[in-house]
Amino acid sequence: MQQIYEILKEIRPEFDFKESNDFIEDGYLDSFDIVSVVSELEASFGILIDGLDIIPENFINVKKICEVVEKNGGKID
Amino acid sequence: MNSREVMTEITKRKEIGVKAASNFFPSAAMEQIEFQTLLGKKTVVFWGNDSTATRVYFHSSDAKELTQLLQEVPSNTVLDYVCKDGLLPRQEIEAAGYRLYASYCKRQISMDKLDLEPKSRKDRLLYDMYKPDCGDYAVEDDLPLIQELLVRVFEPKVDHLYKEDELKEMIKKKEILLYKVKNHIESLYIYKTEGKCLYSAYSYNNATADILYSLERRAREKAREKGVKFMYAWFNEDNYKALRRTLLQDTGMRDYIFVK
Repeated sequence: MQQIYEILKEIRPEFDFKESNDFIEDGYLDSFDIVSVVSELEASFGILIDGLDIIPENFINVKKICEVVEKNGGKID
Repeated sequence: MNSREVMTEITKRKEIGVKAASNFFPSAAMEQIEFQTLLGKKTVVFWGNDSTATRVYFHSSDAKELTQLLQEVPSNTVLDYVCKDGLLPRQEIEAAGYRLYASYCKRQISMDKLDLEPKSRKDRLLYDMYKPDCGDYAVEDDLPLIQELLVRVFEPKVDHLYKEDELKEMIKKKEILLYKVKNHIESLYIYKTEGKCLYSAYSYNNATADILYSLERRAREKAREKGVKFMYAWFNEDNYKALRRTLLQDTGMRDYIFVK
């Protein structure tokens, strides 16, 4: 999970992602950021994320992002 | 193809460890669009109409193939590319017949750095002229005037003008402030509250500087009450006057707009 927080921090350093339960609603991530997150997740976990999983609902919090990573073959420590 | 079918084609062409260039960011609005599509081995190029233009999107990990497919896209199309400064595949896009029409930079600032009491006398002038009740929130009857002004002042091709239903929603949310004189809009400020961010979308001023300043500051004061922490805006990089005036800082993000 820490790895995911680090990715998020790198993309939007101005926000404390641990403070939010809904990154989209709170304006922490926009659609461009989501694509950047996907790209970083793919590189960090050595996976390919299915295009159909790239929807805002799957990126609202770290738990949801973990689910996307695991669904696409990644292992979360 | 609809956007889901396009995403399936993109997924088929993704490879582990291979970076791709892409200007497609799935969103709810995209789901309504029917796309024309060109498929290559490592590239998907597709285009469809939104309310203001025919926009082209792509996903590619092969520069040469990207140029070849983009060449087949019809004229009168607009290609937006949002990326960090320096990561634009400009050569590939221009080789396909597109020319850079405009570029925008994203600027942002923490709300607590705005509206501080200025130290210099010059800056103090505007600060002291703030009228918290300046202007009015737009109502639905203002819609034709707002739309007419947006089309006249801004560029539908590049400025992603809001559609009528979006403007109606913003009116309901009190996100449009107007200063009118005899049923003419002299100043306008359109903004969006996106959680902890305030997106400053459109500013127009035909009145004195204190009027627009008051509208903008009024919106910021309201946003602060709602817990908004940051404000951002996209500036045309040719708009030297606005760039010189703004306190917002460069985020490094760019939106390059190409036309063919």
